[in-house]
Amino acid sequence: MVGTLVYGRHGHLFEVSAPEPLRTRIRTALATLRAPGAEPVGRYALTLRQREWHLRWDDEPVGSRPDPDGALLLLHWHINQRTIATSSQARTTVHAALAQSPAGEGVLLAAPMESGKTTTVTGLLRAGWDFLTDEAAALDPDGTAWAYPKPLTLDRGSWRLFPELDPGDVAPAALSWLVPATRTGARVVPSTQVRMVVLPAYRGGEPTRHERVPPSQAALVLAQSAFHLDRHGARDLGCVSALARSVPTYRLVVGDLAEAVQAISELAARPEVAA
Amino acid sequence: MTGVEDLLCPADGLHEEWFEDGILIWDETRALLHHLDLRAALVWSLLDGRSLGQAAAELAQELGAAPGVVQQDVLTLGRRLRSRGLLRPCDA
Repeated sequence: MVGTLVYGRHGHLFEVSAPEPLRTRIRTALATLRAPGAEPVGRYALTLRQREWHLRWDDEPVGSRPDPDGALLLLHWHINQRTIATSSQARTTVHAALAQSPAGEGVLLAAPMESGKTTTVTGLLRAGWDFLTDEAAALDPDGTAWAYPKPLTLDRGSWRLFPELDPGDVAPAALSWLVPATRTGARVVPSTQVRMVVLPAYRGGEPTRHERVPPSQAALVLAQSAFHLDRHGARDLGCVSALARSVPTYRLVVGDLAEAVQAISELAARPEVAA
Repeated sequence: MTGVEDLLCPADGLHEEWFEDGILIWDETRALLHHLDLRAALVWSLLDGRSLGQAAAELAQELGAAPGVVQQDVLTLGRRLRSRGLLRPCDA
């Protein structure tokens, strides 16, 4: 075991066993997912056989990869799948990043993959915001949002923006860095009250700009961002509709990270948003 | 083809969320999400046992618009909502 530490959130609680040096990398990458005192529901095992890294979840084979970077990403992928599945059973869970401003306003950044969620939230963390997730936010109808503080998944295109976050042990050909958010200096908080929704869309080279989104359009985007909407449609529609009615939503075209961070910080300080 | 005089009701298993700018409807039976803008929402609100013709006449009166133009719009929209499974004949 990785020191028999327990990790996870939202009911997917697990231990991990792996030989060194992968064990230390896992321990570092999953640092913000530690769940001290929690009872694990299962165990991941990574083993090296015939030059392949094999991942098992309990007694079930998950897959194999030829290199440790790939094995770590496979582990991370499976943790995400299971966590989102268990989270969605209990609460509306949306594909979104989530951070809290220094003044305490929760901001939900809802967008599909490759829209710049992780890059934008990492920029916010570097500016002093608190971290909750870069992937999946679990919502209550009263606007409380719960953290899933998995490691930040920074893809190659973002590496130049965050040279200080280079884990240092990733092969140059790797697809992503897995970085605990605390490396930015951010705190991890367990929950926040959502005060604003931002729909980011990365458009390199375009001026960063924002516009207010009408509430039914905001609820539509949030509902479409819900994981497993097909199974929990009525519950999820009710939850995101309540949120869309109670807080403002802005569409944000991100042309430049620093400008986006400034725009979100200014929006979060507006009277209709600020707590 | 849905006629002007056919009485239409919302299908079973629909969950509606109303906003100042439109409605979202979750169709539990088909697991589909629909968005209606404000104009379509206004028509939708009238199709609770009325015919498309009755809904068009009420709407034309309310808006002070020409009945012929409103009726064509309501017919087009009503048939579209029916084809998407959101409306059914009331006697079905």
